[in-house]
Amino acid sequence: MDDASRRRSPRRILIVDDAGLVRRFHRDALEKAGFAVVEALNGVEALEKILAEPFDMAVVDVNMPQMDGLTFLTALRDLEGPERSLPALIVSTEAAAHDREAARAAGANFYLVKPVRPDLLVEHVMLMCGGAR
Amino acid sequence: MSYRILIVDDSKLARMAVGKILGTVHPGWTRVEAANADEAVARVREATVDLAVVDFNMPGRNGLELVAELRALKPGMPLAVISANHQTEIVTRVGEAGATFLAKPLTEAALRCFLDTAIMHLEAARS
Amino acid sequence: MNEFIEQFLVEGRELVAQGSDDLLALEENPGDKERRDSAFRAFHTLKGAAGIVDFEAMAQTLHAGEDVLSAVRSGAVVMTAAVTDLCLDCLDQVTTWLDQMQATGEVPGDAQARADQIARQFRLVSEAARPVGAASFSEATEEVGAEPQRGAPPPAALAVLEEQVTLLRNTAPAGLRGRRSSAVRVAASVLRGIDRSSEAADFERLAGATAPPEPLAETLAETLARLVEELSPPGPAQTASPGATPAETSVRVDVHRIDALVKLAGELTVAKNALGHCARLIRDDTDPRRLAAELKAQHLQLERLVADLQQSVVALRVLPLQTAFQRFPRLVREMAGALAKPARLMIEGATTEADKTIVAAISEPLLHVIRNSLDHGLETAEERTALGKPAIATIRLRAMRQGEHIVIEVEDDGRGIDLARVRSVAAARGVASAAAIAAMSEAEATDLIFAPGFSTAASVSDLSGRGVGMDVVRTTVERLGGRVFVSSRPGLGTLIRFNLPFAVMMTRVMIVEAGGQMFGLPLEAVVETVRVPRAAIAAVGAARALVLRDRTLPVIDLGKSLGVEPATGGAEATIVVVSAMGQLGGLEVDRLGERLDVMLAAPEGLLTGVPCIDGTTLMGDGRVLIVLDIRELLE
Repeated sequence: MDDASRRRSPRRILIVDDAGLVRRFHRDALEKAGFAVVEALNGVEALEKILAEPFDMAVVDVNMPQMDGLTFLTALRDLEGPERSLPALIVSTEAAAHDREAARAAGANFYLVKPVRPDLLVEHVMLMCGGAR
Repeated sequence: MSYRILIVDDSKLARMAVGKILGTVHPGWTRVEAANADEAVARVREATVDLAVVDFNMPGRNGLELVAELRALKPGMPLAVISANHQTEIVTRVGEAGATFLAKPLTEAALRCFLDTAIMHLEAARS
Repeated sequence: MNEFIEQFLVEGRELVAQGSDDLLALEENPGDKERRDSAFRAFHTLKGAAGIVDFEAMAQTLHAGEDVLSAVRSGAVVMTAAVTDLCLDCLDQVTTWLDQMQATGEVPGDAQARADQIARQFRLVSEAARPVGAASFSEATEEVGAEPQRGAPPPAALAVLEEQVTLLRNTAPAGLRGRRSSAVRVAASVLRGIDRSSEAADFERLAGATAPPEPLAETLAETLARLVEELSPPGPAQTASPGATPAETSVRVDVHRIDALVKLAGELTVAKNALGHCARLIRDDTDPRRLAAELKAQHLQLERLVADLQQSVVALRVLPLQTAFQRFPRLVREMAGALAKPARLMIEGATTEADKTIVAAISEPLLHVIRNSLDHGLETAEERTALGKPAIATIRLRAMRQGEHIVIEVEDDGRGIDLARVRSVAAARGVASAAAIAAMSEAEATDLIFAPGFSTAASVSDLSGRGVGMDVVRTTVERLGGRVFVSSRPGLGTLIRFNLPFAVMMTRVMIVEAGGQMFGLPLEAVVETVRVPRAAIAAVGAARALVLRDRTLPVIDLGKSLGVEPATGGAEATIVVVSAMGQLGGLEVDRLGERLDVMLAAPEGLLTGVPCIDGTTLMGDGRVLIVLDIRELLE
């Protein structure tokens, strides 16, 4: 996709969270702001989707069964191909410094604490992938 | 007729502001100041205080608690509580305590209104 | 200045300090109800105060903040780090407004925009506590989608950029390329989003360079950090710099000290009257022995009273060190966050008092030492855990009184000073020859960090700033009449100790030039200065004398008597008439200089025992000024 056509189509965000309610919540916020949203229930599914389709950013919850957010992120960053550069926003219930640090070490580009206000989520996603379109 | 009025507020700036308005309305009156409930009670105990204007929000005992105490010390003393929060709940509680509610920032009109009523009570009490 | 504004400034600063203190304490202990109430009250009272001086914009902002804190009290809003930051930012803005008012004496006219911005952020927090309705949400997105303006970028943008800097600095090999490329992508997106497309393009080009991954990541981190610094508005970061705060010309004094002075003044009056009585006794021709006894008693009484007076006056000038320390907990919190090195600051002995001048002057050196500790002294949380140390580092700031001195210590439990590195940097910077450095003992090598030009702030992205080294800290402390020491245990931590005088006695001196050098003459000894024609100075045997208004003064060539060049001749001579022990004398000098207030340090080292020297002081340009003892000169 060349730059011009990219501009016209919405940015694609992958939401990774095992809680349906949270995925809905985030999806609503992002779709209203003009993003295209795809959901994944855990890290494994997320990796599959990322390798199959192009995304502009991932919003990832830390606590998930099967593969938690940080394990997913570490694996993502360790990939050989260009997918490893996918910007990732980590969302977590924990606000402590060491949790942020762990997220950073795993390769998160930013960290927000739950519950995330919709406008904050949108603001950061916009900033980190350069707008909705 | 010169009265002694007690101004209670933990902020000196706020006391100055009340004092300034008072100076316009009744320049001849004597002002006594206190920064908290303890000082206020001490002032009332040591010398005649005719009426008092008390801030609601103070550390330690707040304005309402002080009003109750002053009421016990000197029943019949005209009392006003000044507060920036005019929620119905507060206004009601002030009324129940037998004091007048005055909103912050204090205006000349509002203070004058309280003082006129207070003077009437004080004059009546003397006769 | 209007007395209301004066009082507003005084109370405003106190309330800001109280509020900040409460917010930080609340962060440590979210359940602390007292602190919660106190923080609320601080905002509430500040709001009221702003109303009294008709500072509408500030009142509005604080009202929005008060609403949030009220919601925190009722449990509707959770006090997250973001909310705390917002409240602290609001208080910082209040401080900026207070500073403006202190300088101009008036309510700032340009406050509305910033006030609205902060109030809006507070309102968003309050509204988030209510269930998310479509209405409030679309309001929010509209704002977010607004055109980015050139000027200060939104805080979120800077926060994200800073995060990418930290990400880039992590050079662990696994996932390095992924982290790096994602950080570059995000940084470029943010930069384009804040209308800095050319910087974004430059950055991407830099990232495309062929270079080994670790150094490339470092370079990218530094470049980005510099960019962030440029973009950051002059906000909280600058409240730390001395230039921003206007000079405080008033000091709050404990009312008991004033009472003590009033009492002393009364006793002095009694002593004065008693002397008057003595004068009457003389007039009435009283027995001389009785008179002598009476005078002696009164003199003793006066001596005692004057000593008390001196002490009381000095006591007026003392302040608790808390005044200097109070901004540090907040700064440590921010710096630790920015460096991703969790650390806590523990303060002991903040009630210790010292002269106002010392308290004001020690703040900058302490700040520098603390920054250094965080930057260089502390390991990252991972390193600490791997070493078996607690992940959260501790920096202790201690103050205590020891006789006539104050001791302040900054101690961290970090990695200690790497002596090998210090030696190699010193050698590289040419501080001393390689051989000399190698021969130094551990103590001497440690002391190298104070050498001028040593500063290890190699990269400008270091928090410690450009080129401000420990040498400046040492000079500042010595100018105050104190000393600074460092000791370190490898792997265990570093301790910096300041030894300062408790009270500061300033002497007024007049600077004169004699024999090509500058000297200070205590002004209390100077009677007058005159220029006389050379013919007026007569030779009297080997000495010289001058007749001035019917008095004969010996004339001493200052330069010659101090062993430097004699006075340059000339048709006229510049004479400083001085007095000591009832004697008058004239000192011939080459030139008169300015008058200064200086803090006298006792002569040390080579100067001890040299006659005629009262003490030395450091002048503003770093030169040492020798202050002369007039009495010894005239003898």
